[in-house]
Amino acid sequence: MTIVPQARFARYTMISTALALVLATSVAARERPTPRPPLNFLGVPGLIDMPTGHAMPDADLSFTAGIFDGTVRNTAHFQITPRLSGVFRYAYIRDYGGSGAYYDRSFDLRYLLNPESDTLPAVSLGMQDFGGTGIYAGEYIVATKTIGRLRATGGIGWGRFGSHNSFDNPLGILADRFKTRPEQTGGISQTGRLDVGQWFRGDAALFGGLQYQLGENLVLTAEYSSDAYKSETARGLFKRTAPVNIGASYRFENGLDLSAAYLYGSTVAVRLSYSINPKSTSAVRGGLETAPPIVAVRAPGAADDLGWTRQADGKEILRSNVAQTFWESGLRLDAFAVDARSVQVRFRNLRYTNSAQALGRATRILTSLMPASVDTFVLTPITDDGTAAARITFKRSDVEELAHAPDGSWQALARAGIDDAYPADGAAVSQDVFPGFTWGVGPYLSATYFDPKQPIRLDLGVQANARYEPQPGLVFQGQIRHRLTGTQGDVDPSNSIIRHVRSDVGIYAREGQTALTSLTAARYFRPGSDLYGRLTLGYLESMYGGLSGELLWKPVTSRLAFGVEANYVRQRNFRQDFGFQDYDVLTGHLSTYFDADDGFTYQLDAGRYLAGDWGATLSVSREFGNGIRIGAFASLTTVSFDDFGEGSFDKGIQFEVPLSVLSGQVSKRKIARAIRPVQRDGGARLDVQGRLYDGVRAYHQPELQSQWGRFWR
Amino acid sequence: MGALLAMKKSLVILACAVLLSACSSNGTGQPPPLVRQALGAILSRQQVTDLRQTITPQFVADLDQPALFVELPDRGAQAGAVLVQDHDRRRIWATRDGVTLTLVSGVLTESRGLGGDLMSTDLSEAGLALGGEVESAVRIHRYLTGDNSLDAMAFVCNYRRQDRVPVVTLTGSFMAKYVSEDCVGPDIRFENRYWMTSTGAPLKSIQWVGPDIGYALIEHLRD
Repeated sequence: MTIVPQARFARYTMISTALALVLATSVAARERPTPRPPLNFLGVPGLIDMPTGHAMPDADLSFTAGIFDGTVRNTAHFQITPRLSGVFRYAYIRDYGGSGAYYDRSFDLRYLLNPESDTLPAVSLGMQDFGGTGIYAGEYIVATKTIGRLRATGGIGWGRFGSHNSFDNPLGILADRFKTRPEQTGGISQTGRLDVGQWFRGDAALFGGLQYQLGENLVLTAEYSSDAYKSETARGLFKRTAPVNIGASYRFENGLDLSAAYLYGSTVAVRLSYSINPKSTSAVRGGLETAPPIVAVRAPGAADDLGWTRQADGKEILRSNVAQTFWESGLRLDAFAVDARSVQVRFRNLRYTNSAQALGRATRILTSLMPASVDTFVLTPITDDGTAAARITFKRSDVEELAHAPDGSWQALARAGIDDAYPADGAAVSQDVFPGFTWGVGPYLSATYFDPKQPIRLDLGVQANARYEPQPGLVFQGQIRHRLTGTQGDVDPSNSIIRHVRSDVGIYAREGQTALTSLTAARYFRPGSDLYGRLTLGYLESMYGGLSGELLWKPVTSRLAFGVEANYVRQRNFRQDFGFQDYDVLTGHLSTYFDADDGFTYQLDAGRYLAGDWGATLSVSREFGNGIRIGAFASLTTVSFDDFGEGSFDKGIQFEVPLSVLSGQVSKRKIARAIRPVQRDGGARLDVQGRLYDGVRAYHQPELQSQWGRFWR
Repeated sequence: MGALLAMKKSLVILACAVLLSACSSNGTGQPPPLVRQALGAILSRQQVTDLRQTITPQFVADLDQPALFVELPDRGAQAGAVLVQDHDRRRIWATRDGVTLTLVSGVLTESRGLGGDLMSTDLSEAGLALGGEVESAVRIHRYLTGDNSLDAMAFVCNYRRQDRVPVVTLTGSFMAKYVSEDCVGPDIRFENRYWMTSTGAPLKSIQWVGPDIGYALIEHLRD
């Protein structure tokens, strides 16, 4: 066999034929109907203002806006597990806090105690606004039973749900303290604390209602509400003349649900909800990208032909062919070595959201380019930062056998060798990709949320970035931003009584119209087996510069990982040029990561934060096979609730949505945000780039397995 | 309406792409793929040409390589495909715009590049049934879910065969062997039809690809 340069390969995509026309690929992804119960005006499964006993389908994510008479309730409801759901609500109530707009943030938790069965109703326990300012604070236990097209609901509520036609708390027989509900002290200083002392206390009341399914999409509802709207009526904001609400809701096929209601004998309300399920929400199942390269099958006996090994320039031609074809498939060849029986490639995935798909395409390309005698493929995926994440080995005969096997995907995973990529394989680094230089110029949009005067503040501008990687794992990078317009600089000055390590965001935005957002030199390295290291020096983020070091222990097949990060940083000046303020701190954390079943990931970071406070942050996320990730985090530190100020402690929700899910096109780009009800200075962490865990994890178990369905795609 | 929706989607993609990518050093100086795709969708009017008009008997006679004509009625799409791999009884056909179809003895077992693709098919019994050896069989299809896991769908199929059935294809009129395959699954039922020469070579078929694609009409122009 003689090896020829790539250009002479007849590749199927280049085969010309007078027949071929563009195959239109407009796709309407079909969703299976889900048994979604209707949502109420507070954005949880319910009647109109009252809750019901059902839960949403597992992983359902719903956004609701309920609007009436000077009130807008915006709610995000996530069914975290089949039984547990969490709610974040952001309500606007006109003139509630005096004159003008009043914004209220609240969190709920609901737990399905019993799913509906032939004989038993669905029963849920809910705690509404359990940690906010308490406007909507209330607890309930509610049961719902379906009889044909009719659904009947009855429940008992406390707090807000126990305010109309109430009676002595039946829990009073357990302890006298349940008979009274302590008054909320209210005020900003109490926000964010768990109102444990109030739960299920004070008078209780009964509520209930009926829902009738009229046709496929229409639901009629009548309810008896136990919410007296005491605080609203006391302020003259709401008129409540009757305890009965009636309404109708219409469900569209696309996840929208529109409802109108007549509330409390006095006002008309509308509600719009949109529900999606991250498990099935991909624009196109399996993606719209073109077909992968075909797995070439060797002729019987061809593997014995070693003639190519005597060709002087054979290996270099092979390397060049692989580099070119990888590049065309969105992969970059970093290093290459081949001998008579095996090939080793180190490569980066530039294109695919799904790391198993990148491995699959690399494997397919090797079948078509490697001489028949090469029977072992050793693939070492490299993270974006240059870290060798894993070493994955395939027998070529397995690849040939399984490419079209009915269960070929799982069998390929079962037969693949997945090992640590340490020590390095010694393959020669590609001279045509190192040193590597990339740059980009484009617009940016940054946001701050939940300012008391303006819920979302946006800055829009242009940014330029450059990255230089002279050798694998040594990275110099920088980014400059210039704000063109925006309102982030108008945020009120921070009233934090501890060091303003994060809360001066308005001053940073105002004074740093042209800002050097980062300028760093970083070294990524493998100090030993299962160990990953990083050292970063420079202007690490927009507010801090200094030295950051990290060490991660993560065996390739382990669900558990540990990390340690230590940083010595100094706070940057507000202009975000090269200067610093007179504040420096030694900050760092010991991190424990655990990848549990069903995509749940847990991360506990314990250590010292930017304000010098000691404490720990727990993050819990649920990640789906398509890359959508939804989670929440909370930090408790030595900064007291009073010193912390509004919100009492740092907490928030975080999400990531790959663009490929929205467009159906392959892309590694994603939208990632962490949203806090309020940004204060306690529990604040450094925001250094290139943290190791996420990059490495993508090619480790169990994450790789969760993506493996796309190996042959 | 479809065009309007497509345009709206394109504008969304364009907005996202402009916001998130702009220009960078990714090689050719062209806009990034998302931008190109969105611009292309807005600026071009898709030309609807019935490919059947082009494929005349003379055209077929002039073909110098094996070729298929494929039509997806639910998508309103047509294409020609050429043979890119012929191994054992498995033949892989590719269109110019990056779609591949894998046929085993004329039975579609995989598609790639359509979106909602048929990832694999277990035909072990159905192969015997199509060959006339048994009357019913099970076939198992696998599709990617929105969560990127593989979802297996099993179908129970019944087969009917007729020997001399007239069929018209783009290449002419024939008396063909005909097999119909009626398949039932928990949620879906479909009916595939195959026309073959007396020696069993495939002439034409209508085969169900999957819930997101519907049926494919496949005509073998030259084998």
